Formats: sequence, structure tokens, C-alpha cells
Amino acid sequence: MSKTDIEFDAIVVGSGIAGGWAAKELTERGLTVLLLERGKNVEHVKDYVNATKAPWEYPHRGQRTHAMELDYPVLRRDYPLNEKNLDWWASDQDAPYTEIKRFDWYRGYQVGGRSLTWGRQSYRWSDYDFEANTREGIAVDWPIRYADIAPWYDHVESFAGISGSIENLPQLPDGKFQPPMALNCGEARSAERLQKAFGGRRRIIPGRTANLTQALPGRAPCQHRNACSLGCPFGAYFSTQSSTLPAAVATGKLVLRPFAIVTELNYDQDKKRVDGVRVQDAVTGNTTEYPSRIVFLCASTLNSTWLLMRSATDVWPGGLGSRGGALGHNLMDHHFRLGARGRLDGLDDKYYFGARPTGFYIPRYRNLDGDKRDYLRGFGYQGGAGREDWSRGVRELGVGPAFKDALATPGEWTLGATAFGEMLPNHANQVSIDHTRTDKWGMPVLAIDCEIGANETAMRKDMMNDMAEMLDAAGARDIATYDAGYSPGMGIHEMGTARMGRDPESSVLNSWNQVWDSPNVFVTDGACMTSSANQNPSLTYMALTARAAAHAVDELHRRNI
Amino acid sequence: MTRTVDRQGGLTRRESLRRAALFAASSALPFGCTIATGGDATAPWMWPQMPPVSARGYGTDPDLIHPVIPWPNTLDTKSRTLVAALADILIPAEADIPSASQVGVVDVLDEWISAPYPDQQADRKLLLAGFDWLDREAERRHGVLFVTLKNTDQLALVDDIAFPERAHPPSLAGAVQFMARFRLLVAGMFYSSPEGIRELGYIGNQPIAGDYPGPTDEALAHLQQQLDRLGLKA
Repeated sequence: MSKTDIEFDAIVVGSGIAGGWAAKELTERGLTVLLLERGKNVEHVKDYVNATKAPWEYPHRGQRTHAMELDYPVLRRDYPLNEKNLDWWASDQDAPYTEIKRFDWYRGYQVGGRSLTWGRQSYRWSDYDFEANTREGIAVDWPIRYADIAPWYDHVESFAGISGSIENLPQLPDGKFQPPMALNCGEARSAERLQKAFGGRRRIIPGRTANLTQALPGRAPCQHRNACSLGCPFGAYFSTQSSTLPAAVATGKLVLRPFAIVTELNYDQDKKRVDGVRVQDAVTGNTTEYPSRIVFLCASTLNSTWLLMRSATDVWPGGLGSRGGALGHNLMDHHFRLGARGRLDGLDDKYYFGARPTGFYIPRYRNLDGDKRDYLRGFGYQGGAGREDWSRGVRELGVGPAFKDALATPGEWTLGATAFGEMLPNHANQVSIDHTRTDKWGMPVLAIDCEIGANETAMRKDMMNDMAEMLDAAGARDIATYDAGYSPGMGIHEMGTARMGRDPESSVLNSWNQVWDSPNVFVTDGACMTSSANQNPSLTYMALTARAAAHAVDELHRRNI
Repeated sequence: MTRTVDRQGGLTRRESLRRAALFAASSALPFGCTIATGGDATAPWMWPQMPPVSARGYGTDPDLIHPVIPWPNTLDTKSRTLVAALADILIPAEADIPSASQVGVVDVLDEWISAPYPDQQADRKLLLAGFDWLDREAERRHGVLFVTLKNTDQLALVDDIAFPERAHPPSLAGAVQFMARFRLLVAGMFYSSPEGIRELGYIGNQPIAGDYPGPTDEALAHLQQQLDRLGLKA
């Protein structure tokens, strides 16, 4: 093992949404930062090799192949397995894990992590979310409230570029938005009808998305190709590459090191601090120790917890942060894949323009303002309206020019939406280290034991049937509900397992995302979440990371850490 | 058993006529009914007898940018002529857009139904039966093969089988099913050709700056003024 002489002020583990923000904020506040990424480098624009391809320019038309299905037994379970951006999903063979119960773990092991492939929907949480646990006696209380995070939402939204509309909804606070991507006429008419039918309680609003509608420095507005997951040559959606990494590099204080797997945090028993990290080179297998004053764990929810569990085990057998018994527990995701769709009449003379990379959103309305259901919490919907393509009704089109004209005429308007529901924290939903198996790099793997409970199952009835009710109110016909089934992890919104709290005996992190037992270690990715709410979580990771980074620098200056 | 298929696996003309006669004679017996010989009667639908295609497939995950097709095409010249005629009734040339056969649909369809896979073999059975039926029906109506019919007679015949949702005599069920499948395949093949994509106006993965409202009336007026001044037409 070698030890470097260069000491960084801060080490950031992981370069995805949270890690990119940590690198940007810490360097801009004057710290020298080593950003460690376990996977390969992906250079902005240059490495977006498929960004402008047509379907026929792929050897397999962008679809999945037989060989890919054999190679990716987990990834094949849902949409991520495809030819277009397979390079940006981790190998199931190289990095296996143990499923005590089925858990779909879709990982992005490269610079930028899943910021390259994320869904970009960006919603603030509110005090309905931050207060829910304590109000209902579930799990532990969040140690922060909306007022603590609101200025940091402002900060990250302004920089990331979130397009959205001002709605004045207490359960979904407004933000510093760029102009929204407008609803199309099928959505707008349905929004009006919903407004009337439900007195404003249920409403369709433009999706709030991290796609620019106005230029930012070095980034162009969205070009309406809806090809974000291939990387955007215009930098029009937020990713580490398009946004936080260039800012961090511009400070001259960042060193980015790909192929660097952090295998342990080095804990100094005397100082009661982590004083650096151990890194295994993913290519050569050589290990190096990097000292630093603070560490930001942004390795993705389950990998950050894995790293804590492997650290300081001579002091706490369960690892750093395990003293209170919360480490590894309360794994959450968002349950979804159900809703309804229907057809819209009376708009056949209208069409829409381009390929919008977002749709509409229906904010949570259940268990709010006097509504009371037989389950706790709630759900929101993401959906869209559009016209069917030529494959509909091709049977009854005749021949000749009339046939060609009929094919070229857009089909009927349809509108559909999928519900995303909150998952309650549950101590029994947990991860642990499986010492019987190792990955390609000789590291013991994670074992995941997680399932949805009675609250989620009860909620799913409303999630499906409410959408049919709203379609009816919107005047749709041929309304059909669906439930495509859900297994934990499919939401790719893993949260929890190193939660924030008010008490070291029942949580892992304090109100500033500091590990109680080593306050110079900050965990700011999804692992820190105390509850899951129903809103997409990434914007909250950004805000918590920026907030924690500011606090870290202040504490360094005060010589508290 | 006598040879009932030609070298390419399609029915020979003589054999199909022979079987038509056999079918008409035999089918009357078990059901105790007579075959109508005039009025609305049509040529009977007959499934071809054909050996399975035994050529090698391309295995899993072929490279579709550099395709290698290991199986031979199997349609004979007569069938290819019929496919071209029928495909061009479906998708005729219009203005600067070529017809289906002009963009190579016949070759693609031949390759499709000659492939050694179950789905393509099912299509092969249905399509060969349909080609055979078209000729026998043309013969019944006008005494000549389909390709030698006058265009109006071809269209009249095709119209009888090209609208699956309309009421049909039961004897047309096979031909209607054939035409629906033929249309789906040919349309898919035509509209995935470069010319077909051009006609669709497909935009796909192209940058578009935003909801572009077009030039303002003021800008258009200014442009017109300038054009007029230069003596040009917009």
C-alpha cells in the first residue's frame, strides 16, 4: 500500500448528483478537493457517442440483445437494459449483490453516475413531508424543517436550471424556476376540467424538470429531442458533466480521479475522526491511502452505507455510524408502475411540436387538508398526452393514396399518468454485508432485504383508481387502469439506511448530515433520508449537499472539525 | 405423392388449379352442401403445401448495420411480379415519391418470407396462399392472371379484400386476412426505407430550438417589401 503526500482539504466519494455538488460547493468555498469515482471517466460532449443517432444507426436498433439479457440478469428486468446507453449502467456480473428479497438495483458506475441518465423531475419537499414522521409517530423525526432547506433549494435550482410553473401549493413549494415547458392542448384542456371538477384540489401542472428553457453559462436551452439519457451535447439538462464539474474545475482546486474504488474510511480512534480514505485502483488493484480533513460520502445510497459498514469496525463491529443501530435500516424507494389512460375527443385538428423531455405532474392531494384515507402519506402522478402513431387501426385503411394519407394522419389523442407513492420507513427493510460473496474487485457484496408493506399496498388502490376518476372528469373515454407490478428498487430512488435524526441512539447523521461519531464525515446522498415523501428526491440531495458543504467549510474555519 | 410445389416452394399454376377443382368437389361431401358456382362465389381459399425452409438463420444478435443474410430468397419470378403489382396498388408512386416496389419492397418481402423462423414461416404460408388465391380469383372473374388484369379490375378485386372491418362472405376470410398482413408488412418496409422516411417528414433526433412560432407578421411584411423592391418572388 502506498500513502500519498498530498493532503486534500476534502475528499468526495462519488461523482453523481450529490458528489458533483459537493465538489462544486467545497472548491468554490476555497477547499482543495479530491473527487473519487469508482468507474471510468465520461467527458462532457466528447463521450456522448450516441447522442445524435437515429434508431437505424445502432447495430441492434437501440434495443436489447440476447447477449445483453444473459450478461445483465438484473438490468434486464426493466427499461435500463438497452443498446443506447448500456455503458452508463453498472455490470451485474462485475458487481453482484445478494437479494434476500427481490430488489432491482440499477447503478451508474462512471463519472457523473446516474446524473447522466436520471429522469430530471425536480420537486421541492414541504413541511408536510419533513413533519410527517413525528406527527404520525413513524420512525424518527427529521432534524430539519422546510425553512432550513428552502434557501438551499433556491441556490441549487438557480444553478441547475429547473423549468417549472408557479402554483402556490403548500405541499409542493414553488422555486426559482425558468419558464415551464408548456402543457400541450390535450393536457391543458384536461387541466382546466380537473380544476373545475375537484375545486383545485387535484390539478395538472407542467412537470418541473432540470431541462433548461433559457441558456445558462456554457449551456444551451433544451432542443426538444427527448434524448437526455444519451448525454446532451447542448448541456441542456443538469448533470455532473454539464453543470457542477465544470464549475469545480474552474476553481483550479479540484482533482478528479476515476477508477478509484474507496474501500474503507480510515478512522483514528484517538482523534475520533476519519483522517482519510483507502482507495483500490479498479484497473491495477493497487491500494493507496489518501489523507484529508473532511470526507463527503456521495457514493449513492447503498454504496455509501456499504462504505460506512466497512469502516471503524474495530470500534463498532457494525461499522462507522452503527452505534445507534440505525445503519443499514429503513431502506426506501418510490412504488409506482400503475395508473390509468384514456382517449380525448375534440382535438383532432391540433398537434404539438418537438419532443418535450417532460410531461405533466399531479401533486399529492391525499391525506391533506382534511382528506383522510385508510393509509398514511400520499402520491403524485407523472403523465402526458399525445397522439397515437401509424400502428393504430392500420387494418381498416384501404389501399393507395387514401391509405398513405390515413397512415400519415396522427392518431387519436390519449392521456395517461403513472402514480409515484411514498414508502414508509420500516426498520425491517435493511441492507447488510454478505461476507460469503465478493465482486470483481474482491470486495464483499451487499445483501438487500426489502419489501413494501400494508400501507403501500393500501395506497396502490387509490393510485390506480384515482387516475381513472380524473380521466373521467377530464372527459376522456375508453379509460383503462393498469398495474404493471412493482418490486423495490425499480423506482431507482433508493433512500435511507444512514438516516438523519436528532439522536445518535436512533440515527446515523445529525441535522447537517454529519456522522454522529465522526463529524468530519458527511453523507449527503440518498442514504441520509429519514422518510421518502412522494416527490422525486434528487433536488433534495442537491440542496442537502450544498447546505452541508457550507456548514463543513464554516466548521473547518471554526476549527470544530 | 406427386410433386405439388415448384422449386422455390410456391405452388405451380397447374397444381393450384387442380387443387381448386379437388377442393370444390371434395368439400361438398362432408358438409352435405353445394358450392355456389355463380353470383357471389369466389375462388376457394387453399393453404399451400410446401416444405419448410431449412436454410440457416443468422443466430442471435445480428449486426443490422452490416447485415449478413445466410438464407436464399425463395420467391419465383411470377410471384415477384405479383408482389410488385400488389405492393404498388397499396403504395403507388406519387409526385417525387417512388412506389413500394421502386424502393425495393419486393426484395425485402422475399427475404422476410424466406427466413427460417416460425413467425416468418407463418407469413410465408399466408402470403403464398394469398398470391395463389389472387391469381385464381382473377382467373375466375376475367380468365387471366392478376398481373395481366386491367388496373380497374385489379383495384376492384383488391377492394373486395382490403377492408377487414366490412362484412364479407365467409369464403373471403382467408383473402382478407392475407391482405391485412401483406399491407402491414409492405407499409412497414416502405416507410422504413429512406424514401418512405422522407415522405413521412420524420424528424427524429434533430435539435429544435423550441416552440417556434414562425416569423412575425411584421417580419413577413418587411421581407415581402424587400423582395418586391428586388423584383423577386417569395
